[in-house]
Amino acid sequence: MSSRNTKVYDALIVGSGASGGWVAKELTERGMQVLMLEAGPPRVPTRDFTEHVWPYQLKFRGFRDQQALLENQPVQRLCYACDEYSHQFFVNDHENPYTFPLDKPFMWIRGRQVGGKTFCWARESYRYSDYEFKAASRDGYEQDWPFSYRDLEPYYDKVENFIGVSGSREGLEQMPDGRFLPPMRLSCGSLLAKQVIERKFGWRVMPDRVANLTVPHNGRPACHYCDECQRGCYTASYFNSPAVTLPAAARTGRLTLVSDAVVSHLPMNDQGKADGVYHIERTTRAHREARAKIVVLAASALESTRILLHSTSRRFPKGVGNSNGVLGHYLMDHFTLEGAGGILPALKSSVREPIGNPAGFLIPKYVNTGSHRNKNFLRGYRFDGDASQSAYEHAFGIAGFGRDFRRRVREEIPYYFGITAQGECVPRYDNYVALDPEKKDAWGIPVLHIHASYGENERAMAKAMRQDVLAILDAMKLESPNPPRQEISVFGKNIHECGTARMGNDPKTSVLNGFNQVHDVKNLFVTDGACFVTQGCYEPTLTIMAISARAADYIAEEYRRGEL
Amino acid sequence: MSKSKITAKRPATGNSQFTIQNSQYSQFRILTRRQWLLKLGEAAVLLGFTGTAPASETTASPLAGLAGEESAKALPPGLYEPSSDHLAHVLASDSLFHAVPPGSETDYVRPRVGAYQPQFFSSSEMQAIRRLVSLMLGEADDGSVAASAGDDHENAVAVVAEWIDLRVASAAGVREAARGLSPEHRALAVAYHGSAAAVEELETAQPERICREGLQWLTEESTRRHGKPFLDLPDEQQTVVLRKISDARPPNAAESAGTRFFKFIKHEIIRGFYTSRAGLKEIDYQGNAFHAESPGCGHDHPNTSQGGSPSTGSD
Repeated sequence: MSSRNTKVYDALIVGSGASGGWVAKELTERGMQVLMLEAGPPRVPTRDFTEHVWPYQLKFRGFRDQQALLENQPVQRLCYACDEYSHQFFVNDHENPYTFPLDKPFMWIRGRQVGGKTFCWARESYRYSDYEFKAASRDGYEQDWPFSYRDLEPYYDKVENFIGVSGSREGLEQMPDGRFLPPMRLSCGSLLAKQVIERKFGWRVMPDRVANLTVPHNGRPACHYCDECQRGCYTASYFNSPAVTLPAAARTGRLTLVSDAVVSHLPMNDQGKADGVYHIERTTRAHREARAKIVVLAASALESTRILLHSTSRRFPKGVGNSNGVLGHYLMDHFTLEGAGGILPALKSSVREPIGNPAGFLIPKYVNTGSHRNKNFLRGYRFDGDASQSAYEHAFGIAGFGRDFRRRVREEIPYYFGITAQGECVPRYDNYVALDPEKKDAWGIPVLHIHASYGENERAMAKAMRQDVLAILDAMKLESPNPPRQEISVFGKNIHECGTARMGNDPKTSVLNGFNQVHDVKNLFVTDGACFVTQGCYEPTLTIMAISARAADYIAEEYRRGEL
Repeated sequence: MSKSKITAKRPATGNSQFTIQNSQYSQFRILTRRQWLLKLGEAAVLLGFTGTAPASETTASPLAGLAGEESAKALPPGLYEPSSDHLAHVLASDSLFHAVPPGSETDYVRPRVGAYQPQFFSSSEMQAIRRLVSLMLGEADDGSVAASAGDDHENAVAVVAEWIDLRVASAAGVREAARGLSPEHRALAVAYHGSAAAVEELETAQPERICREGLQWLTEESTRRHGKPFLDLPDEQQTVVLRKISDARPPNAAESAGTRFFKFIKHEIIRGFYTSRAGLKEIDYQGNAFHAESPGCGHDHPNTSQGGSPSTGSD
């Protein structure tokens, strides 16, 4: 049944998102012939992008086709971005199922297409520091990463210089400054928050650092602030791999990109090395095989781990890279405390303020930094906030009808303030993924069973987060304040799933070495979020890209020297 | 890009008021959609539609750095560059109807030929809905305008009434789909929302019943008080009937089929109207715009600063 593509590439990359794009760019620029396999279809901007569509141009006026979403995307629909404008960037849940215990729901948001989730990501880009990379040395919990901030710093520079990240320099030890384009301006309400919160609590309030261009950069125009990034971007003014890293790779003439190729598993040769991959054509279901001297998995944290778990042989009965039983374990995803906010009475107005910044403000982590040690929990949290005028949401609260009602909607514009706390999920062996013994996806590949829940440390941290949010609400002197909701977010909801093939110096307790190389298999690498050892309280994508660029540097050098 | 246009001047004396003054907005460089497109056109012309543009951080045009069509053609499917191909697309998106690209998975409204055929309401019910919308929006309802092919005229009352019809007609399918969620997907939705209420709402909401019972209440109340069905009453009497169920009625007034109907229909009128072109214009909606610079605060708020801490910006 399977047909064999006889060409043997220097390297084969599975996945075309943030990680795969960087590996492809670096390897092709170093002269290597690269085959990239992407499970999903290519996207066409003029067909699939909707950022300038008005609600009245859509059948459900932007309020979502609930029936279609419930039927086809019962999981994806829970993501804020999977709506009437952008559902095409998310998978069909029946084609891409997974399982979990009923009492441990897991929300797995997936984008399978050329570009992966980089069309829809929220673009916040913060460097990790040794508070993350050397966290275990600091508090004794679990493991350090196998490198330090100094090792990754040049790659953060490289990634930021290339993709463009806007931000302010803050001089914070726990969240290093980088190579920034000018920051976006805070709104009136965010400035008010900055004034109040910095004075009252001494916590830094700063504009989000986002991978949006505030000035033209590397051949891409500046952002025009339509603020609908998750619908695609004609002008490619935020980072996505199809307009930024992948074209750079393609221009070398050494990238072969094959879309609609769903990777099933890795064939292993007699020397215990990966021979390439088995894949299945998405639409025809035809089985194929592709060959390369090096295989790089960058298919997203859980998908890369699924491929490894599904690559069983006599030599690797529990999956490739799993001789120690660590593969699949130490799954993490940030948890959030949401729903807090209220109205800023001083900013009520009858005049519209310009809007459109695809970013708000950040309060970086302050607990467990410097000499501060919290006795109730390890690690820490940060806040995301924003403040802006209501568009028309306040109309639901204005009584009556007729011309006077409309006048009040137009002239009595409230100014909303909202704040969310996001905390670090500590790595635990108990949070794991494994192959489901029965269920298969649309291509006959075994799916993941995901077993994850938050533990004592997260619950203790959530208490402190809650207290701080309430203190902020109080200090802001809000009208109609809403406290954060009681329950912390469901696992997976923040779409920062990381871990399950972690790095480490000790092959007995980790899957990958410090250069993302599988301990057991010399020519096999995993460069996406699966490699994370801890995840701090900041978004992982920038760090995924820096790690991918660093791994690619190592791969190219080792390959040149004939070591792989 | 010049910063001078949006840098607020510091006031000489402290004033802790955070008030917004109309005149201050003139300092923002907000481009209209058309102005922005002109700039885009300029950039495309300057580049002669060829090759890659020089990257420059000093060029004022928001589209400086625009790449042409030729280099985009060389890229494999799925890859793209900011391209003048999009010019026509963005221009088209300003009209009432969006051109439907072949193969699009987006459910765009298409121009209709002929009069609207209600999907849920009978034609007399639809007349009553349209009348209610016009009363609640304070708009005259000539009832005669229906958008036809190529017609760029939007009748807000008709558009909102049609939205309500679609909303109610879709309800049975939504309920059925919600009840069809697998146990795992239902458990996930409950955990996501933090309670079962949102899921139960999807499973049980019956706007069809609310509307049928509400319209019946309207007929009965009109006949009882004024001796005629609702649609046959003069404007003032219709308004009197509507006030009885309005959310502006005295707080201790009883709930009824009428008040439930008012609540539903007002909610949908707000959603339908403020997403219409007329509604968005009325509230001076600032989104989906083109700005030359980050549209943050440009006011003279004292004791505040946009940037990072100046004392720590070493490199």
